[in-house]
Amino acid sequence: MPFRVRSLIYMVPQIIRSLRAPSITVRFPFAPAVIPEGYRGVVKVHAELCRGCSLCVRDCPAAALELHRENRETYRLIYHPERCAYCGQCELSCNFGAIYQVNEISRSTLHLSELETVLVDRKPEEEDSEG
Amino acid sequence: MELVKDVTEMRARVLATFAEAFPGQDFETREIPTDDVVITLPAGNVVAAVGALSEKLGMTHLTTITGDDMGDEIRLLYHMWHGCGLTLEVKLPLTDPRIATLTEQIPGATMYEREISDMFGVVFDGHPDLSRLLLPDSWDGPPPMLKSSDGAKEDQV
Amino acid sequence: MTKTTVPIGPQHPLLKEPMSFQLGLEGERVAESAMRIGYVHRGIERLCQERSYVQNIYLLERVCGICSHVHATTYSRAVEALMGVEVPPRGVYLRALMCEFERIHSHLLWLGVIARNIGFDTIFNYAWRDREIVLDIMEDLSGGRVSHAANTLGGSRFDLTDEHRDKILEQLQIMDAQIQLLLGAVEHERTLRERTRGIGKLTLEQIHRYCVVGPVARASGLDIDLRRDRHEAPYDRLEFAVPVHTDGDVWARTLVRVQEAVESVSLCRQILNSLPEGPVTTRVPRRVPAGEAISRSEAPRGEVIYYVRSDGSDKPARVKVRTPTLTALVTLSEQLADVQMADVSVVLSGVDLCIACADR
Repeated sequence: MPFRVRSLIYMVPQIIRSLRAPSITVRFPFAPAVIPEGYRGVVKVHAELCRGCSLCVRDCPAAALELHRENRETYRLIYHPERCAYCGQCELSCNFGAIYQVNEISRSTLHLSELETVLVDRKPEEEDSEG
Repeated sequence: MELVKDVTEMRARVLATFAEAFPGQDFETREIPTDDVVITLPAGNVVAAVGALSEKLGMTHLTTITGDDMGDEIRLLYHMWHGCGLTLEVKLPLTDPRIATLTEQIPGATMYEREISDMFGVVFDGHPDLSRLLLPDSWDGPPPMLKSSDGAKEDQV
Repeated sequence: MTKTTVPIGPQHPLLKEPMSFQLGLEGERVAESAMRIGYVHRGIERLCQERSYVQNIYLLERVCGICSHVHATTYSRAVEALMGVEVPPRGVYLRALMCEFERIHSHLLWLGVIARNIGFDTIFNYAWRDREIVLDIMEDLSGGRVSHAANTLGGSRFDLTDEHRDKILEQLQIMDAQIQLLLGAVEHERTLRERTRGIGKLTLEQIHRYCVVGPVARASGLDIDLRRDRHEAPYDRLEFAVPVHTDGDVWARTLVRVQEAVESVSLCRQILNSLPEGPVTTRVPRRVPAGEAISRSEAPRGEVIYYVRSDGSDKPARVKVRTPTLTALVTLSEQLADVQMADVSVVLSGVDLCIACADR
C-alpha cells in the first residue's frame, strides 16, 4: 500500500476519536474545578484531635508548618500554603489522625501574608472543657 | 559480555586480579548493601587497578565517582558495575588533595572528575580540562561540599 | 573557510532546560562544540545533609520532574538497606508499578519532543495526548501528576482496591492501542525515518568508552538493563523483553524507547494481575544505624545510583546521586561533530537530556 494512503487510513479512527471526545477544559472561576478525589491539596486539621506533639512540624520537608507553644496547654499550629509542597508527609506522620489533606486548591491572593492559616489555636479553657 | 553473578564471586575475582597486578599487597575489603564490594586502595594505585580490571575482567563501566568529606580526610569512591557493584575506595588528605586522572583509561570519567574538583577541590593530575562544571564561573568561595564550607551566601544564589 | 560561532542557550527555544552550547560552524556543518551546564544547580546533595531521612524523600523527588518516582524509590531502597528493613511484597510491586507508568510517561514525552523538533507535530500531539492517560492514572493513584510522593521509608504510600485495578486495566487497554499506533507510525513514517537516520551515531566502542547507560546504550547494541540484570523483585518474576538495536543513531533510539514503552504497558498489566496480598508498608526505626549503602535502578533514561552514608544521627552524612543524563552529555561533542546545523536539534533531543538531573 502506498505510504500516504496508509497514513490517512490510520488517522481516521484518531479523527473520529478526537471529534467525539468532550472538551476537557473547564472555565475555571465561573465553573467548578474538576479535581480528582485522591488529589493532595491543602492541609486541614481536626483541631480537637491535635495534641501539639509537633511530629508534623518536624517531618515537613518544606517548613510549611509552625508550632508556637507557650506552655503545655497553649499552642498554635500555623500553616503556610505558599511554602507547602503538598507531599502529605504531615498526614502520614500524625499519630492521632488530626492533620489531613483535602482535594482543594489554595486560593490565589495578592499578599502572601493573607495565605497564612491558623490550624489549631489551643487555649487552656478548651482543654478543661474537654477533660 | 559476561557478568559476575554475586558479591562473593566479585570479591574473589577482583582480589585475584589485584594479587597479580600488585604482588605482595594486602587490600582491605568490606561488603555493603545492596550488593557492593568496597576495596580500599592506596591513592597511587587507582589507575593501574582500573587498567587491570578492564584488561583481565572486562570491567569498563565506571558508574560514577563519589567524593566524601570524612572530617579528617577526603574519600573518593569509584563505583563500578559488572553484574554486581564494585567500589574502589581511596583516601586523600584534606590539604592539597591530588590524584591521577582516570580519563585516559575511561574517558567517561571526565564529568565526574570535574564535578569532584568543583565540589571538593580535588586536583586530578593530567585531566584535560578541569574547568567549572556545576558551580558558576564567578564562584570564589571554598569548594561547597567540604565540611569546612558553610555553603553559598545569599548573593551567590 | 571562516568559522561562525552560534550560541545555543542558556535560554533557547530548542532546549527545554537551561544549558549552553557554543557551536563553531564551517558553512552548514558543525566543526566544534563546547558545552556548559550548571545553570540549574540547586545543591541538592548538600541540602540532603541538612534534612532528615524522611524529608529527603520529597527533596530527592524534585531532582527531576519526569522520573521523580524512581529517584525517591532508589533513595528509599538505600536507606531501607541501611536500616535492614524489608519492604513487603505488595509495596515492592506497587513501587514497580509506578516506575513503569513513569517510564511510559517519560518515553512518550520524549517522543513528542523529538517529533516536535523535527517538525512532525502530528506525532507530538498524539504522543502527548496519550501520555495524559498515564498521568491521569498516576494522579489517581498517588494524588499528584508529577510529584507523586508515592514513597515512604518502608514501602509504598498508596494502595489499590480491586475496582481501582479494573479501572486502570481498562485505561491500559486504550493505552495499548494508542501506543501500538505510535509504534506503527515510528516504524513506517518516512518523515521521521529520514530526519533521524544516521544522525548522532554512537558506536558500541564509544558507548563502552564513555560508560553510557540506558536507551542510548541499548540503541548502540549494548544489551544492558538493570531491571533484568540485577535479578531483583518484582522483575525476576515478570516477563519482559529488552529491546536492543545496533544502528546507534537517533532512529534506533526512537525505536528502543517506543518499544520499551510497549513492554512497560505489558509489565504494568502483569504487575496488576499478579499483585500479592498483604500490607504495603512496614514499620521502620526512627534512627538509621551508621553504615553505607549503594542502590541502583533503571530509570527511564538509564542507570541511576544512590550512595548513602549514615553516621548514626537522624540526618544522612552523605547522599550522592548520579543520574543517567550525565553519561550522555559527554558523548554530545562526538555526536555533534560534522552534523548539519539543521540536525543539531535532532541530536540534542535524541539523547533525551534532563539537565535538572545532571545539575542536581
